[in-house]
Amino acid sequence: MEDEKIIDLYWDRDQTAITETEQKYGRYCGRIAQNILHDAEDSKECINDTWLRAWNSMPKERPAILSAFLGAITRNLSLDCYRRKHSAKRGGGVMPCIYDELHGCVGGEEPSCHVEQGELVAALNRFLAGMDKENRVIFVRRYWYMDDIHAIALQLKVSESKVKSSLFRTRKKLRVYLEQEELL
Amino acid sequence: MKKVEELLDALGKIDPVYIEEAEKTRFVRRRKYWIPAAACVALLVLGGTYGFLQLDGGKMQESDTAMESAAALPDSPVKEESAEYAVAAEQSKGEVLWNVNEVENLQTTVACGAAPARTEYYTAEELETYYGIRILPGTLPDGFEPEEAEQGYAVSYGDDGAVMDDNCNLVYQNGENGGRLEISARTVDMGEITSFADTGLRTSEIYGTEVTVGHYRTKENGSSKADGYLAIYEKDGVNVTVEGTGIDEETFRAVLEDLLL
Repeated sequence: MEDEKIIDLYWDRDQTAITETEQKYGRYCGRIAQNILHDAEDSKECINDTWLRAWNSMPKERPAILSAFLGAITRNLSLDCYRRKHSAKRGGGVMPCIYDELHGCVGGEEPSCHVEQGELVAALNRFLAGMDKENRVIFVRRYWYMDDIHAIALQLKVSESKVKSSLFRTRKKLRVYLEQEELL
Repeated sequence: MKKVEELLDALGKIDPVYIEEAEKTRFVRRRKYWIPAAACVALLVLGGTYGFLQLDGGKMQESDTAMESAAALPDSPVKEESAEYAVAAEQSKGEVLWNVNEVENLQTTVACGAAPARTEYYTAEELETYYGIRILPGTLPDGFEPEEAEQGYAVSYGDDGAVMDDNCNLVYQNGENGGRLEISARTVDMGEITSFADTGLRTSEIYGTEVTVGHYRTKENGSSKADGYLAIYEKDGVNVTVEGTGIDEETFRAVLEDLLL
């Protein structure tokens, strides 16, 4: 079913919206949750919560890109779940690596000095807009979808070393950019 | 909140355009194979076969000649013609329009190239990630079970790291009626490729993808005839062939719609 029609079902408060969403985006959202949580049960729970959150968000919102809208809900729910479960230690899967990589990018454990999230998001969007497409796709796959290096290399049909070097260079540039913007 | 957490949360709110771009972008390699005259056997056409081939328990008999020729081929120099990123076109996922052609014959070609420098084996899920499109049905027809690939699905690479042969078949069998569903995908024209021998076939439109679908009747155990269906389409640079026997038209359509939704 087309995204527009699925959104219409939400707006009409027709519960088949959830069935259609699950059929079309269940695997997409499931992959994001599994990347973050590395646990089938927790992932399933986050996916079910995603459909509920989408149901409660519409018709207040009408997403322009349904996949990104649903994926963002799953990502947020999964990250919250991950933080609850791994407040003491990082657990398995790709997340410990991602934390380490971003720690190297933005520095220490200390909180930032009164940076509004909106400012940071706007700066990230400007940074992404200035990147070439190849590096941007690799960066978003890693830090939005939380894909592992192997999966990114497979999807883009490039070597794993190319993915790693691209991410390394991008993190370095991002750090410089955020410092210039006085967001670090 | 720590800086890393803040950055992770802020990344979650980036422009959805970049999220969609990262999901849809695939690196598509277009390759040209130069095959020396001495090795011009690279393409074997086993013309006009399916309609007359005997099916044994729903499984197609392979051509010994083709397999022997494939194994005997010498190395061929390969040149990469170009490589470019392709963003999957924004599809106008309209209504499904079916045109199922009645066909007499199918044909199989076997294309072989140089010996690969290395071969990687992937699971079915990794293979789906590799192709970047759906090749695994969300729901299997009743009675069908996946046939496990012992080593996994093979993708061969050349010396330069470029893909040489990624023609892989996912097979599902129905133990009760001998039915068989086979989903093949490839981004380069290598290996065994099934196509229609008939020309001028009408195409179907399934959620924005143009698909050629054919129905054929084939002999089973030399007596009663069985129905077979073949669908061929190209999506995001991946050529896909779906073939089913021991399966009715409605179920075959449902598999295709599931793959292309």
